[in-house]
Amino acid sequence: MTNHETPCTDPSPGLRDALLAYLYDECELEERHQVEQHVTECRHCAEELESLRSVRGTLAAWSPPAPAFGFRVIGQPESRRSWWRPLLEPSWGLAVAAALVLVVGAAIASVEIRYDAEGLTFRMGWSPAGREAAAAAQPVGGGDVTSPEPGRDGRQPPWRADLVNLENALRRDLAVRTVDSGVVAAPDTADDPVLLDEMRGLIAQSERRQQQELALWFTEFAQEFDMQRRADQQQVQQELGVLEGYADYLVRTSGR
Amino acid sequence: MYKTDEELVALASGGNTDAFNQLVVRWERPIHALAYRVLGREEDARDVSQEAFLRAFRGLKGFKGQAKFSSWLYRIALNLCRDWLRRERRGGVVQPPGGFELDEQAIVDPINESVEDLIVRRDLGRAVSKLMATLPDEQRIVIVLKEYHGLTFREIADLIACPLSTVKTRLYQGLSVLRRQLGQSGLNASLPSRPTMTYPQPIVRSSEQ
Repeated sequence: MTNHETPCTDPSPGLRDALLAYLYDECELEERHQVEQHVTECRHCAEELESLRSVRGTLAAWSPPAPAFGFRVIGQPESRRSWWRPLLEPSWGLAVAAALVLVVGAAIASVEIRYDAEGLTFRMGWSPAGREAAAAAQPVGGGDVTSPEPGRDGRQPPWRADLVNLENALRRDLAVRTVDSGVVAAPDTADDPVLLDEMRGLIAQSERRQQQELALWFTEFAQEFDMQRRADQQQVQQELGVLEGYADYLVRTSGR
Repeated sequence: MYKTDEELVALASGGNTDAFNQLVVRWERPIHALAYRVLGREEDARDVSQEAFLRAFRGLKGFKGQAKFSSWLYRIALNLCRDWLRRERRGGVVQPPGGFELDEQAIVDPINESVEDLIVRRDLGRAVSKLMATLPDEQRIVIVLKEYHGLTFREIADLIACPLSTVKTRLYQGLSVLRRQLGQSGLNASLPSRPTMTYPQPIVRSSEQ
């Protein structure tokens, strides 16, 4: 240590390093005692240490945003030549794409196409009527080829056979695609409890952040609203004052 | 069952992508925070973070465990940040001091901190980000690594490949500059016990008199 009796106007690198190490709690016990002893006697260094601590306290206010990316590495099973090819893509995008394929596939799997006296009806969904119609129109898989449901008036609609064929072709195609997309876009990560726990933690944290952000937004909005209200109030009063002055003038001039 | 980084690295090297994804989940926040504080812009930080993980993934075979995985990853990310800064400078893009444009959420304790404290902290955080952007890159990098990532002086020296004394000099110089600037702007105090940045008072007072 340097001179303890007089302020350290120009701290040596050794003293500066010791103060830094003390500041960040990265010094040995003996060095810590030396620094503590020194700052009790050296006003300059005591202030130095205190001000650096204060800077650190201020720096702590700067938090980064939560990372907005969310990419994961996925393997591509179909590219067997290079048994896995690294690919980084936004995982949420994959999840949305996979969900979309499944939803569309599920919806069209129960498609109902009807042509009758009311015209051509094209319906998708999981309604019992949709399923019955789909079962009635399903010519493959069961062995029994059920004849297409006749129209309400008993007439076989024109184009019916073509539409049924198209429907069946769509079913087969979508069944294949759904299986494919399940393999590619839904990697088998669900059975890993550690990853799941980490993801759950991140989601919970994200929800808390959103709540805080909303609260912040409301508070800021209230403050801006209050400022605007006060500004409007001032303007109204000023204009009222002008009007009052003008009225006084009118009263005075008319009284003459 | 919890696996250490090294165990996950070993699995990932053997072709287990899930293992590498666990490493991504574990380290994406620190790496993103590092890139964000060094570069100052969210989109740059995102690009650099993704590139860092991509390079780590590609380089797993070459990672022989000579260092901690986190140190290795930090080094990749930091080198990318420095390249980024150099390119930006060479390209003539001068980042203004107030280039930290992101609306960061300064949340230290989401449960216990009041909204008022949050607002004060957020404003102070914005002020700090602007001041940090004015520091020379190397000073800012050392402060970020020390202050926000808790690396030891020795770890920082190894990471940025310079002598220990240089690390301490850069840290001290950077803190001194910040201290002076914070003092000039009247911002230097810790939170939330001593909030120093207050919201602008309503612009009209005379009407109430």
